[in-house]
Amino acid sequence: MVKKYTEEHEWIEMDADNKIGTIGITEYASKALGDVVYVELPEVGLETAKGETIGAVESVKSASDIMSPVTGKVTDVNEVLSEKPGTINKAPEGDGWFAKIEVTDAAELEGLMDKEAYDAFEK
Amino acid sequence: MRLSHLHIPRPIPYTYSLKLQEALLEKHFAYKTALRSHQHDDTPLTTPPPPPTLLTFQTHPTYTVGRRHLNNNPLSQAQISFLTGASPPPSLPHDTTAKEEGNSHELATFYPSPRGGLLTYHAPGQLTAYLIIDLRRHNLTPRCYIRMLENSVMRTCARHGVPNTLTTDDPGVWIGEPETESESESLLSASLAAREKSREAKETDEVCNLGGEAAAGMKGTKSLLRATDRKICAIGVHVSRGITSHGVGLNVFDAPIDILAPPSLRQLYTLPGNNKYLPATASVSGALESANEDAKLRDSVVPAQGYLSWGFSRIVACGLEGKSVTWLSREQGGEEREDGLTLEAVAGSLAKEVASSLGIKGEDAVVRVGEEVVLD
Repeated sequence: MVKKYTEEHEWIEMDADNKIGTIGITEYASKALGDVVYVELPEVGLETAKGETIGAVESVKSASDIMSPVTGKVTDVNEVLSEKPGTINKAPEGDGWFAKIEVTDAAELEGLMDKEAYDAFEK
Repeated sequence: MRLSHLHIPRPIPYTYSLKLQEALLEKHFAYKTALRSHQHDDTPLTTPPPPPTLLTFQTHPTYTVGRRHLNNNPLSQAQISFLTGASPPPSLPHDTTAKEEGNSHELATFYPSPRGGLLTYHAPGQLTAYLIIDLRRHNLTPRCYIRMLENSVMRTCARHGVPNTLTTDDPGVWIGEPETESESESLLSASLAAREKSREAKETDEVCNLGGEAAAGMKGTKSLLRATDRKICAIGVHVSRGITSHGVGLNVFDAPIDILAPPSLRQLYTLPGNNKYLPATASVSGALESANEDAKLRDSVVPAQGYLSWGFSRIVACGLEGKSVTWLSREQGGEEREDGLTLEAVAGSLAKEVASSLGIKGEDAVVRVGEEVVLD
């Protein structure tokens, strides 16, 4: 499936059934933050709406909120980040994924950017 | 574009600073939301963006703790009671009234905070400064923003007689001491260049491309300062939807406890006799040579001199064991605090330095605003 991107530098990738989306922060965002020392993950089962804060990514001196790109329910979180928060810096768009969300309305993804638009998007 | 500066001259409850900050954040969020919906339906947005705003103030004594600490290492109720003074403080030997009156006096408040960083303290004598800006509007990433804040604080310290500051991997701004006896043309540019440069710091410098003195100092100047264990400013920032909040706590002087506390409360602000924030006196330094004397001191109790020395001595500030906290008046070197060293003056300097760091030029780069402008 194709990754979609938000203006807040998050990505979402839907699974083959188009039900569960994996989310994370982009390569750009991880460089913009510096070394990540702590990740605040949401609780599994949390119901969230598009644009709501569901967690945070922290460097030693700052905490940046992570917004959910879609409305839905958190089904899984990447526990690896609790032990190794630096994974977000190494592979933000792969092993450093943040959470998985069961998406209520897949149409919400239509408003997000594809890779070309995100790369061109003035940051 | 100008930097709006709201300075509150009287010490305020911490919650009031949060209320002002929230009001500023709401304006920024509302603008972002409006901008986005106008982009979608291709109509022009006529309202101007909210200005970058610096909020400076002093609070009643308050401990705040960042989210990392709360999650990894939550404070117990007993610890919180200790910090706020809800548990009985050790009373001075001759004083019986404190025991009789009971222990329901609040000596400090305690609040969790969504900012980065760990445990710190704010009080009269500290210039607490929150900067609310839209990072995108200023083309800053969070890490470059932090560097900009640190540089602004260091230049502010230099304006007030303390040019020997630097940053390290530990958060905050630290006092530096010269490594060699050699002269440097500018102690400040040496300090801006002389951060103990970890890989992360070097990367940030390369990536951030900050203008002005900072950049000039960085390239090629030999490192002439090393960090002491004295921290003069704490830093902890929150970024939400690209809008910054919280900021720094720059210690200016150790404000006497009398300025806020009535006599009945004043006597409850005490410290152990051997704490390192006591001004050095002959009797103290002489006594420490003897282990017996040291134990006696440790078990004794003395009245605290000021809010900063009292509050910081009771915690391991920012999670950094073995370090201590200092303030501008102490680092200036003289016996008396210089006349010009007021919270108001330091706030004004910080505003000028932040405006300059954000590329806002000219005589009227900073505009003072009142609380009503923010709260409307």
